[in-house]
Amino acid sequence: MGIKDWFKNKTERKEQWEDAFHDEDNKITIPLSKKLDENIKNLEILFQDCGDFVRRKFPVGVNKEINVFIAYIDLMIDRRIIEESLLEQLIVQIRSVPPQMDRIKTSIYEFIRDGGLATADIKEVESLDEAVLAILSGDTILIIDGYAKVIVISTKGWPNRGIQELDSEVVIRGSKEGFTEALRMNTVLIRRRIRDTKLKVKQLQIGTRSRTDIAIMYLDDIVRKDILEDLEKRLDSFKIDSILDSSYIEELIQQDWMSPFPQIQATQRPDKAASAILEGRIAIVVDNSPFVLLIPSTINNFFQSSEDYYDRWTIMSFTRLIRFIAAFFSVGIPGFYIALTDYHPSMIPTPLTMAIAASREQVPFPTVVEVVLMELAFELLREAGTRLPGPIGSTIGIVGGIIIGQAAVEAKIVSPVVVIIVAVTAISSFAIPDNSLTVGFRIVKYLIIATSAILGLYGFLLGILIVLIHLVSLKSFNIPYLYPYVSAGITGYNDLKDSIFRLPLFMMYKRPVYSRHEQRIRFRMKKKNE
Amino acid sequence: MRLLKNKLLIIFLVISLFLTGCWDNININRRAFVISMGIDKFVFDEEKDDPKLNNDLSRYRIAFSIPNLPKFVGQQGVSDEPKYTRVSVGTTITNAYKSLESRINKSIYFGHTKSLLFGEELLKDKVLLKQTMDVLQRNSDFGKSIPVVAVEGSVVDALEVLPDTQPMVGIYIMELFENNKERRSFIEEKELGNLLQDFEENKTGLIPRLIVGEKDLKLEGAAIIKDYELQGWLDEKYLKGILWLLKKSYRLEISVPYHDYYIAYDVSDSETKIEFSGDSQDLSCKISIETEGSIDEYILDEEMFQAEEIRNLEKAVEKEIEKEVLDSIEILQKKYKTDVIEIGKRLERQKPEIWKEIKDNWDEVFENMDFTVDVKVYARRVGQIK
Amino acid sequence: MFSKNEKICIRQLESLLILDLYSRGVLFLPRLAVEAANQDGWICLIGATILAAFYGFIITRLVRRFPNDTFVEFSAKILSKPVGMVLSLLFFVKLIIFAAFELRIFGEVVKQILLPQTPIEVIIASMLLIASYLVRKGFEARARLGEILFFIVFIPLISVLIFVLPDADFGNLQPFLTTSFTHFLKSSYDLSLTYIAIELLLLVGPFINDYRKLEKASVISIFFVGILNVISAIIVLAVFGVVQTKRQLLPFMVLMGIVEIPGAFIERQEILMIIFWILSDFSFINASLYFSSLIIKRVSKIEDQGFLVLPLVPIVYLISLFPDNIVQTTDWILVLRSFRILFMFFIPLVLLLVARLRKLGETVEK
Repeated sequence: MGIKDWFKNKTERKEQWEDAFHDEDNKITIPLSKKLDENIKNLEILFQDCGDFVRRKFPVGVNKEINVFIAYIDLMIDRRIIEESLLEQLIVQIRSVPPQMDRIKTSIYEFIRDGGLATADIKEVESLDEAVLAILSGDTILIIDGYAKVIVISTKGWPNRGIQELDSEVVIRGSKEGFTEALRMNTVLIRRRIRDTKLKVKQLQIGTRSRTDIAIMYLDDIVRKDILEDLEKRLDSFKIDSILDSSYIEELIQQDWMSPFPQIQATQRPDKAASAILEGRIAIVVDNSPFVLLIPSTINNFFQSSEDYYDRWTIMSFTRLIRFIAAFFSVGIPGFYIALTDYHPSMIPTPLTMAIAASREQVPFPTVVEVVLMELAFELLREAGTRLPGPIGSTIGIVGGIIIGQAAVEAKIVSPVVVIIVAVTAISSFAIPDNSLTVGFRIVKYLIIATSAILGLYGFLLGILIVLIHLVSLKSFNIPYLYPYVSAGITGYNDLKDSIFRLPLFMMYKRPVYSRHEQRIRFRMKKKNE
Repeated sequence: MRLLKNKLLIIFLVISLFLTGCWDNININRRAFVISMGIDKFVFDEEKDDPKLNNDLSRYRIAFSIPNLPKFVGQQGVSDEPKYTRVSVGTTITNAYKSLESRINKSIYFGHTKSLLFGEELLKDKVLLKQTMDVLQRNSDFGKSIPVVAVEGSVVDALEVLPDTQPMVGIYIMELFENNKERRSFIEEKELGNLLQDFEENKTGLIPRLIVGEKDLKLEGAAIIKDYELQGWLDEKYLKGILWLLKKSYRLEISVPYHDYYIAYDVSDSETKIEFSGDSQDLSCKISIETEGSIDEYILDEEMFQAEEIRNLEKAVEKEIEKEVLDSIEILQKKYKTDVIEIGKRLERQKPEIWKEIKDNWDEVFENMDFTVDVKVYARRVGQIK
Repeated sequence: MFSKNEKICIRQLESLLILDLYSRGVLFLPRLAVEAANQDGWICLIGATILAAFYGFIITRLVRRFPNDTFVEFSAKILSKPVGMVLSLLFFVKLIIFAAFELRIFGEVVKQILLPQTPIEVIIASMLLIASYLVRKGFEARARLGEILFFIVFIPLISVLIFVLPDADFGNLQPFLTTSFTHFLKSSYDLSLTYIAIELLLLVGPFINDYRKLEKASVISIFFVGILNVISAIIVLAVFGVVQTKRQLLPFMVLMGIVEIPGAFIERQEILMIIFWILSDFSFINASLYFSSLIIKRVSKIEDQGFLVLPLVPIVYLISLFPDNIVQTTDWILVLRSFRILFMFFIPLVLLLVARLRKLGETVEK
């Protein structure tokens, strides 16, 4: 018995969420009491050592007989609202109304609530937990002596970045707004683009300590109910202490955590989120994160950029094709180069073969080591460039690339061809619109380098097969990841119109597979007599 | 989690098994690219050869031409010569080139071989030629579109020539062949695949002849092979006639005697039809050639631009073509007794019953066959002046 | 495709079937056809296709009667359990052996052309491991991969056929019709045996979305492959002639080496083309592995198919190393050839007739 228990102790995770005031979900269990002083004492204990907790107790009424208590967190609120709409009303205005004490006394609460507060957004809560949550969200609470109810007044006004121009996902033509860290602002940006009552904004809170607000936005009549249910089930399936960024949610609800490929798309652009919702997908907006998650996502979504739809379709189809070629290059070129030069040089045209062989005369390393070395050096440069601020970063990138590359060639550490190969690979990986997919390719590239180095062209092929097999079995919320290149028969090959090329708008008259079956048609040219 | 750890361990073990060696991984600068290979029969030369080589085991003398890479590409290298020629003697071709590997510090690679040269002695030896053909086909390193030439003399001399424009003999030959394909010269070009096909189907073959000069190489004429044995060397003028029959005449020019000078007729298109008549005892063949072309050279103070004059010119050309073709056929029939013009194949296709009867003594029948040639020439274009 | 029930749609089945059938055909068939009937080989191919379509028809008729059963189940239903078990195990053994020999030939060719120094065990083992990886991912993944491979394999193959036309001398097809009728029949029969992938239809019942379309789909696929085979054989024959086609082990590959693609910079492209052969062989080996593990799963009623593949891998590996060389392997395949017709034709026919007599299974709804 002893060993078993000891083993169990070691392997089980101890969960400790509870203490005197909080239950296992970090929710406060103390009830509200009718006595104001008790409530104040509880609040003081909970907010002990919180220097930014501001409270004020004051009497209202002509004869100052009712005690009222407000509390908020400093600087999370818009002071003007408190001072003008709240306090002025309570202290000044109410005082000027002659009291009919009997009538008023019995329902002072309703009086204050209905007539004393001049703000637009008022809520009643009946538990201390919700009240505390409200304080911590930037609202002001108002407790009236004698009532075990708390009025929550919306006064949110913390400092934030405001809507700025995006630095990633940039388009030349199209809106330049981007999401910010405030949940409400983000939902507003989407609302402006879809003025439909069927656009639902379902709010949840996830994270026992962070209590992060999460809004799920979708179009009620288009979205597929099974995907919605699946999403809610997954969001419900874990308990975490905090959600610091939407990527936490992404990691926790995705299907295959081992895969290097992203299964959920994240965007900073409101128009992209709006267009996704209009296709029947679901947008997850997370407070404190400027990245909105879009589910379900197939690999095609990662190759699309908003610009595709704003520019002319011919040039954009061509650009899409280039993106696909770039994706293939970024994965395959180093491996292919190794396979060709080391195993089958007969396939390279003779003058080039001679040139490569001549340039490799003094290089000490085998080809594989060269390629891996340069790739790693490039990763280093990339990482360094991200850390350095602004213009210095990009300059170092260029300088590093050119000068170090040149010097390495002259010192005969690498051959010039390898530098070109690595540079082409890197540039190709930048051509993919969505960065998260690039990360997947960067990892897979090394796998293919390894298989090509061992078994030549055969190994290259096997490596690509492994990747394909993996991709083919991935599903994002039950839709095959490689849709619409496989299983396109589901929608009658409709989705191929927006895959490698983008057909003109009037040809894409049906919604893609994400939407419900009967809600497909979204476009129609008007007939003559309409 | 434990199961996952086990899985990972197994995968790791399996992968490390594969990492035990990259068996075929040869660094590209460790390869010696053989650009051209010359195969010849070993004939003991008293002055130059080692007396140890004078035995039955020495059957082949093979020359390999390898470029000096840095010089070739234009960089500074160890030596100044553009190429190295190594000669190896062996019992089989494989033996010859494998023994080379202990002399050259790089690994021999045939993937970029640009041409093959056959020596005269090799072509005369039936067994060696058959074996050579077998190796070239069986070994997958040799591409089927490599040009093949026959050298009248020694292959080693041929490979050591340093042409001015292109130091590597193999590439030089290959570019000569490309000239041919682009309709600028007239030889019967032979690629390895075609040669193998000819040998297997008809037992005869035609290999272009390479003539070695001081600073350049020339392709002229051809070697006639029958039953894997060299029958002789065909001159260029007879080769032209054959080309008409092999339907590959679109690049020819003909110098036609006219009055007391010669005119030039350039062929742009031609069609050859071959018909047979008679039975197995008394076979005759009628060749109809129809060609279109332009008159390229005339004489300055005469006027060509009349229908009658053109007709005269055409007639002259017709006569000349007829003569060329008949001369070639005669030489093939009488002197070499070899059907390189694929008459037999045509007969098989057109009259299979007759072919079945006579195919066993086709050589005799071919020798005695009656050929008539009927030519129609159309001079469509006359150049810029009248 | 949306649910986790592993059903695929008809289109995917068609691509899988075409891929499996054509891969066997494209590299060997021109040579086999010409060996059988010289320059009339392509006509025999037409006959072979018709025969194969007939086999396919019978098999799909049979499968259609038992929509959610594989061969294991309905053979037990029709002919009593022990007989069914014996037949299923026989099927299993046959699949394994053929897969092993095919793998051996594949390994030999790859070793010969791509990787001369690499031990053949490594080549075979790596292919087996990756094929089994796909098996573990389920039938749907197979179907989706089939769709992708279909395009990767077919588009270059077809374009090679088109590009090689200038080099084709259709005179090589003459003289016509020199073979006797009986010889023609026998050659057609021999060649129809290469459509061996059809027998896998016996196992595919539970995976199809709409089994009513199964017959039409399989017949269409067979005819499509048949037409492609005939065209390929004609073109190969036209380019090489009778003698050369017979002598080459893999005439199609040499064809690819000859092709002159304008502007292409890769020399010796036949090596590149071997990629397509690797891909189609991969598909076939994967199919064999999947279906053999499926038989075991159905016979033993174990749920996890992925687990069952693991012991199969070493078994196939060892069998494939058994023959001494490629000649012996080909000999043994020829010997076992007579077994092919069993599962392609006789057993399904018998089962169908008995099912009809005993009025088993669902009949066709009018």
